[in-house]
Amino acid sequence: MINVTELKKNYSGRTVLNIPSIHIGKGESFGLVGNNGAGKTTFFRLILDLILADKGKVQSKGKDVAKSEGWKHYTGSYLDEGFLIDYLTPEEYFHFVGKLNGLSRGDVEHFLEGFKDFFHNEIFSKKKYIRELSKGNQKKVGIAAALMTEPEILILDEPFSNLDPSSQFQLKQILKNIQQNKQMTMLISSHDLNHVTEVCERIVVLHEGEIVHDLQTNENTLKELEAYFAVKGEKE
Amino acid sequence: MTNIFLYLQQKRTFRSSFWQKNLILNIVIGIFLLLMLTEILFIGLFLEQILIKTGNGVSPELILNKSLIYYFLIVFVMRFFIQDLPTMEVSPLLHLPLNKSRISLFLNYRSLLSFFNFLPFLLFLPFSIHYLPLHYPVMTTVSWFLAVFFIEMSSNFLLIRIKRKSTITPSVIFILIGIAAVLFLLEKYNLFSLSTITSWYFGHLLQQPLWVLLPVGTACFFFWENFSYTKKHLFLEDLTKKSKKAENLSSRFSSLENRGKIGALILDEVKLLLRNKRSKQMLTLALPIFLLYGLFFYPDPKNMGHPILLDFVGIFITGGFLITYGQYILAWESRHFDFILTSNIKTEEFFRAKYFLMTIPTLILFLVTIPYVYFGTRILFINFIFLIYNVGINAPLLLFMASFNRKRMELDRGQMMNYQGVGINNFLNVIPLLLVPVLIDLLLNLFFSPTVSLWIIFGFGILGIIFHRELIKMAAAFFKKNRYKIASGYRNT
Repeated sequence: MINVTELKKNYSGRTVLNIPSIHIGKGESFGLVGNNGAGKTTFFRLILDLILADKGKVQSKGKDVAKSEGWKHYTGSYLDEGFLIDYLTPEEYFHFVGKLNGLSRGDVEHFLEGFKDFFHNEIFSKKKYIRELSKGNQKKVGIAAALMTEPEILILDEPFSNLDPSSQFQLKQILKNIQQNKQMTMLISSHDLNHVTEVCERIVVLHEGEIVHDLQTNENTLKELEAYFAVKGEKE
Repeated sequence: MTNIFLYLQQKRTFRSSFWQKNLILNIVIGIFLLLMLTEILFIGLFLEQILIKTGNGVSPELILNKSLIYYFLIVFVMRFFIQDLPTMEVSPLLHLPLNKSRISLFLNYRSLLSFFNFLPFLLFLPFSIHYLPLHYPVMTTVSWFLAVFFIEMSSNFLLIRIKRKSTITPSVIFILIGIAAVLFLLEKYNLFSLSTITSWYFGHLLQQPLWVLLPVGTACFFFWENFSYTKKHLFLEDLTKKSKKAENLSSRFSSLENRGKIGALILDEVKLLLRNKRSKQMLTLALPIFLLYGLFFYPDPKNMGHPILLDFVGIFITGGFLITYGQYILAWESRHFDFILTSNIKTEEFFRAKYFLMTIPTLILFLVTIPYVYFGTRILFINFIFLIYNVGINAPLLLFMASFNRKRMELDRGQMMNYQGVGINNFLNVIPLLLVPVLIDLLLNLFFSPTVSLWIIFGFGILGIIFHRELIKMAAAFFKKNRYKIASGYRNT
């Protein structure tokens, strides 16, 4: 589904990402972990063609993302507030995204019905603009909008941070369902090793822009990761 | 403790990205400011002569006393639109062991730094040093100047008190225009003249200097009022208070939504314009100024003989929206630009929506300006030619130039005197948008009659309209080449 070759990104002379090759298959659930500055967001931005790679390319369904716009039809993503239109109310935002993806108003409302619990009545009850919502609620809106179009590829940056405990739990259920259906290729990054090992079948550890581990999740993965980061913490 | 505030303030000013990134722009603005200040100072220095010349034997101070009220009112109105509330990043200080009254005091002192508060020194101090002492005791001259100064102080504190409570809405502007019209009519038919107010007050002041206590008292009162108000309202929820009322107007355009993706994009942008402070001010303040431009020029028969001048006015009047809005055609959406880039929108569709957003209002504005035909059918003809030129050439040109504008634009602050998100190229844009068509007309005039020249310009515009799809495609392709740079510029906070 996603093929990365010789990918390299520098910022002011420093290499922040260097991935010789990685392949992410269809229906795979791919977790990206690493400390701050490891290059997680840079990697996602490269996949989404938001920044220019200094070398190499990212292919989505065999096509270079920098050269065609086709991937936009089947990719849903939420990285940060730059993906939200903050002067819209959440309803307007969902309908706008729906419109761009050819969903009818009914489709959108039907989808949102399924997210009622996740939203806790906080998002739609008041007539508020997105800019007036809390960080956590903004994130929920962004994640839901990314999921709404039932994309073939889903990319979420730190989906669990800023969410309250019950929302974290609910989001985990949602993502697990996606993983089991095997319809969506899912790429998420997280600082929370617990969550990411529960949701993802494959975990990649980035350190200073390089892939240092590429694991298939099993019952020992969490311990391995904890051990790795504990040592890293002591060294630094 | 004041030192700490000053320290923070200074750091905030000089470390803002605005100072660091826009050196050339700052120099340009600096030169303009300097020019303006010297002009004002010159007026101040020659005020005495000006008043003697225009006075027909009436002594200058009496004329000045009469006209001061207009000065105060004009400055107040200008303050209303331009002067910002003194803001400080107060929220990170609230939890620290700092005295609230200190913070509040400092906030109010800061408002004194406004440009308008220094104007009396430039305009009236030379007069009161040079002229008044020749005719009045020193005490009187001192108190005359102090009275002017403290009236301005009252105006300063009254204004920020008003601004803390309310924001500028279109209805406020209409009320102000209404009041101004009533006053104008009263003056015109000699029913009541505002000038009697200041001439009465300053007349008494020149006899009895103690009258100065009146404005001093008023200024102190407004200062105290402000101080206690801010002190009482130094809480997070007050500082971040936002209008709870959702804007409704744009939902009336919802039929647009059924017009496919481009309709949805246009509707979204209409919401952007109506729901953010900066764009709202653009629509309610900048736009009327462009439209009224004709009133400055058309009434004077001398101007009617200058075809080039009329060209300029024509471009301005029909292109007011195009220029103010189109200059930032992409930057308006800079805060969610990553969304635009990753969404299921083709760049060309996106640009086509932008094209309609520029041209449809331009057409409507032209209809609004048709009454200028009162000043002659020639005016209507010129404006129509430049309407076509604006739609055909300038609108696609702005789509091209959008790729050069890579500054993130914050929308929650007012438009006036706000140079955030403005780059040097926004000034350079004027050349292709305004100067080029006028130069073309000048050049054509060498060979053809003025009317034929205008028809040729019309031809250019029509060509632009016929080939608008191709032009949009080219602009979109140019954007695609530059998209990474633009997006990373917009991501920069």
